[in-house]
Amino acid sequence: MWEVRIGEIIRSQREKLNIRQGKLSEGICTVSTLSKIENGVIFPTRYKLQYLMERLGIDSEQYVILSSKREIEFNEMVRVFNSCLKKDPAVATYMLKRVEKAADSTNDAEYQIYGECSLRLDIAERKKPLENIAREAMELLHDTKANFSLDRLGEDLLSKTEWNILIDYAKVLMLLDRKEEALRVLLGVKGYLSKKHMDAELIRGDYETVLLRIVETLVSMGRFFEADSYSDELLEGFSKNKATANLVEIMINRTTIAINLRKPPEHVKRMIMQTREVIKMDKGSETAERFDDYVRKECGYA
Amino acid sequence: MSEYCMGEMIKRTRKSMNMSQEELAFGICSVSTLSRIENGLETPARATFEKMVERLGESKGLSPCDTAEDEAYRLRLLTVRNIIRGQQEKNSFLLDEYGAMGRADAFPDYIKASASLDEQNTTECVALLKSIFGKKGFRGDLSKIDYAILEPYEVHSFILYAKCLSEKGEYSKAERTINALKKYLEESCNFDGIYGELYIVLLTEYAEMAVTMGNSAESLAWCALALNEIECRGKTFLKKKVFDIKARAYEADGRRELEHEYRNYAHVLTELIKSCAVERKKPVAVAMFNY
Repeated sequence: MWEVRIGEIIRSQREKLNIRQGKLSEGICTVSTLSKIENGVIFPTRYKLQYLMERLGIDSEQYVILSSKREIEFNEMVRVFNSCLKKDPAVATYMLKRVEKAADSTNDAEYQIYGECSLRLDIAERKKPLENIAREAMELLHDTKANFSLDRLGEDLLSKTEWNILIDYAKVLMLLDRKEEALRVLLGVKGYLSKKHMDAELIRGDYETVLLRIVETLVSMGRFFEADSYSDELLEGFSKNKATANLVEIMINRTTIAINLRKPPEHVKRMIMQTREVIKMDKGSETAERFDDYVRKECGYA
Repeated sequence: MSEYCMGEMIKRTRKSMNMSQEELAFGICSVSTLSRIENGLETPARATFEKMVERLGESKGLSPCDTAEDEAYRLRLLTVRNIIRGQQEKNSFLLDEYGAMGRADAFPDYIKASASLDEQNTTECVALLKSIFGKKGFRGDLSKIDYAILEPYEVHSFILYAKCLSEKGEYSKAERTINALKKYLEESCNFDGIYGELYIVLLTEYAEMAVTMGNSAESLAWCALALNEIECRGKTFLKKKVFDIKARAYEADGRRELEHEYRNYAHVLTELIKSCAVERKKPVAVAMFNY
């Protein structure tokens, strides 16, 4: 039941998808290391293993993995960083420093995870010029993928960290008002994530985020008709999983779309009511009142 | 990702067997290497590790790598995940596959126990759960839990056990079980994957127990903890239940307004799930807008 068998899983999935060892291991480890891992000769370190499995679309949650204390602690730090990013940027800055210290700089995968954290903080704080952040995001991708180009997104293999960097990159493009480009990146990532061999559990959260960003982008471009169909897909995911993490954003976007598409008034009214309750639930009644004001002013609904 | 810290695991198992470092390391590696491995300073070579696992024996749930065992673990994990999320209907396929493997372990008992609890049959459930613990060597005694390695389904069995106890009115025993389990999870698990979900389930159960016992203040505190976990990990599938419990706690306190508010939240969530199932319109041709 231990890690050794994971080598076999990686090999069989790789052969099933007809991927060469060189392509899979690009930027993560050498080909000879990969072949040793596949034959169970060595223990891969946690992040190497995670990257390999994610690029193959396997959800590593299903397997027991033995790792060293340092790696578990590193992982915990990254998690704490991500959870306090929205709430408290000061704590996040402090955590980022600890993550940087803990990261093994000889391990590209770990270093890229640190890089992604720092990218997220930059986007949240917006202290640097946006152009620089966009350039850094691309450089970060080149750490593990030397020849990465957006045009060949479909043929590439991406790990979770790598596609998250792309999602963040699209966000920066949005902030730079390069909406067309952002949309292209997002649709590319969506296309990649909806490939058949991807494990549903591995992509669940990120697929939702990508769809949400697509909806946001389309709404801001005024293309409500397309936004509506993507937003339907989002809500379908909600009913299937009985929950989503971004319910507030989804509902606000749906309301905006419904109003702009001039759907039947009773339909819109019900949606506004629901959205209001959802906002109150997540963000408190103050924000809900702001939403009320917004709806009243912008759309003339009481 | 379910993770075990290698060194930690070796140390726990070794101590639970009253084995000294010298005994374990003899003929495999030096004592100082073992000590470095246990403290997480070194990753053992595969051969070393396998020899150690062999010496520590299979009695503690350890086994050298075994393909069938690995596949069985995967199936068990997926089944437990579906049960926690209330998607039991997805399990029939997994269980068929598991049955076909013909394994003789406690897992089918766990499935039966969780089904009998759904049918409110606590006596049967307790009997089944006790047989699971018996196989693992616990016999309802949680003092040994510290050194055991619990699989997701075993953790969930303990949660179900506590639930049964509280339904039978043995609150103090249930509370002890939950506290021991909570301590175990907090100390030894990585919360990214299924153990994080189990932790949320545990907090929610505790909150529900507290409100049934009439201790609404405590229940609210546990709800707050659970909500915080849900928020941090983005695992929202128990949100509605937590809102329900909160509403009950406020009702017990006589705070009508807040009670209504939380009932309403729970209602909205159900409503949303229902309405999008009804509203399925014909899909707009998304493809034509794609690049």
